[in-house]
Amino acid sequence: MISSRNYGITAFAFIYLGFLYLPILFLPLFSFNDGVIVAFPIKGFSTRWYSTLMSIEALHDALWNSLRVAVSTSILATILGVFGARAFTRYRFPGRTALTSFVMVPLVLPEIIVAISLLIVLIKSGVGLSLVSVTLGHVLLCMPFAMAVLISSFEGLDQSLEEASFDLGESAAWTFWRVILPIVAPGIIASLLITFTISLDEFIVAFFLAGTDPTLPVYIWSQLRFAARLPSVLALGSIMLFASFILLWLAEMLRRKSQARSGRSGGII
Amino acid sequence: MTVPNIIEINGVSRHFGPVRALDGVDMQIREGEFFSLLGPSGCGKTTLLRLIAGFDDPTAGEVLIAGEAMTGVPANLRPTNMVFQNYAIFPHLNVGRNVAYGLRKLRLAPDELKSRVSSALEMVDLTGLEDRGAEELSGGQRQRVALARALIMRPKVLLLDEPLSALDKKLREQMQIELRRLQRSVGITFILVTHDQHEALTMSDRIAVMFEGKVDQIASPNELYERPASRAVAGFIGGMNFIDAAVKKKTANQITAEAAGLGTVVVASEDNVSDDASEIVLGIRPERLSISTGKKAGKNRVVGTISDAAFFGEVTHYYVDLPGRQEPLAVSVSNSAEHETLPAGAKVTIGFDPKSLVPLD
Repeated sequence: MISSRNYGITAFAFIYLGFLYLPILFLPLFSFNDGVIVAFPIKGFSTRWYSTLMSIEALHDALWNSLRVAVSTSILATILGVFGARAFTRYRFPGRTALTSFVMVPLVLPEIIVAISLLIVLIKSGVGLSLVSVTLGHVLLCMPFAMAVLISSFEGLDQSLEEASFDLGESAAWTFWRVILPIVAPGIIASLLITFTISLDEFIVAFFLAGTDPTLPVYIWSQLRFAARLPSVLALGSIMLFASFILLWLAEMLRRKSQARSGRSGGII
Repeated sequence: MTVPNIIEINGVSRHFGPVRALDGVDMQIREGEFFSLLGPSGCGKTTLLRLIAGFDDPTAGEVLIAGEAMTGVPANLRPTNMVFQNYAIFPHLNVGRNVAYGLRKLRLAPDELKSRVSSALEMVDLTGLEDRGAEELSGGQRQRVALARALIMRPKVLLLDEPLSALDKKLREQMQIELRRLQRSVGITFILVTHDQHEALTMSDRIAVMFEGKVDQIASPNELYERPASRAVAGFIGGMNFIDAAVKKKTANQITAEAAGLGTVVVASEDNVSDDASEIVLGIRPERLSISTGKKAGKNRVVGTISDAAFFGEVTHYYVDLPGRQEPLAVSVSNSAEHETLPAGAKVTIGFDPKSLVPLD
């Protein structure tokens, strides 16, 4: 199938991928550089920026904050996503399509607009700023992703399986537990992983709503003012990059498994 | 001795908006019989099955199972079990767990559970396949698992929704015989939904033929074939020639009529014909007509011209033009070893026994 005409497209693909990922590859590269200045030529190999990470207490607090927010966000968004995906795939109700569009809107809204409006609402309603407010904001941002993943695994769920379970004497709750949940489980785990990753990496909403408890990205941003700390920020960034990549890869594997189970194909990532 | 009714359908209608999927259906199904709901797609047979199973509620009328009204009783509390068209095998469970699925509430000891599952699998010829994954089963095996999973519940009625339609022809014919044998051995009432007349005729004790939400006839396969109650039933089951006829004389149990193309015939039945009818339709099966070379018209013999012939192996179908008749008459002849297919255009004599003429509405 590969003919000479495809060389142009192949070249374009490589340039595109290089443009997309090469800058990111500089992150791990300079995080191992034995020097403060982030520039070529590279001075030598060192892991000292990684070891300094171990001793910064504010960073550990920020990491702990981020993990708490990300875990709460992923669980909340996934539970809501399960309900939403179930309703969307099984029931026909007025305003169904409009409602799903509204759930998907945060995907395209500028994050800063979302962040500012959330800030105003939370302050005016007296909720105040804390990790709870960050979590709420993150749930809003993560819902479209949770819904997309979960709808794709709920859609393939054959209705006759549920009817078979009823027919064999089980109630709706037992049917959910014994049939629906096991079949969509990979989708649920994928949704947990994706929303966890998004929440962990999210900056703008966290920056506006975090109050006095910074999350990891907010902490990183605050460190950018100090040139001497830049290499350790790069080290931290490299770790986050690696972790996010692993999580998303896992999520995609699980999503594919879930679709294979319910006999469908196609993906969102 | 009369066999009690296990299912009574009393004036059941089911409307979907303006569509009358079922329209005033009455039906009694006897305990222990193999009963089929037969009809073209969209005739309401699956809707009726789902009403019996409890997946849907009738707009009007009621369903009784074993003498108890089922109105408001959900599917999981009804003494029925279903074999779904796509079998609905739980993909995340192996064969053993699929079959044992409905036994959770019985809280059986592991040994008891195991022996029940293995005897259910034995019943459907899947002995020892407990640990086989759901994804590794062939179409025929999936169907057997679905059967075992339903029969292990010891239902009063087993509902089968076109269970053979997904199988290839050979397997389908084999399963027809097996299902029939299984039904006899367990003695449970089977209700089969099918659009395949051969399937219904082969397997059933009685068949309800449905068209457009209504039941046209409920009868044994033999009666359905020999004495169809309407043109629709006669045309749906087997081949049938329809012949317009004018009534000349009508006495008790006998009609003398002038049939288009066949001449004057005496029909020894007055089923389906109202007292004052002057124009009726007569039906005759293609295999009840005989064909011979030569031109010897006479009583119950008419001369025609072969317009077309089709060879089917065991039979040959001839289409014969008769004077006084628009459509050719279909004649089916069993082929002997020395048979010769008659050519189109040949003059032939068609003979018939007036006993084979069925008056229709």
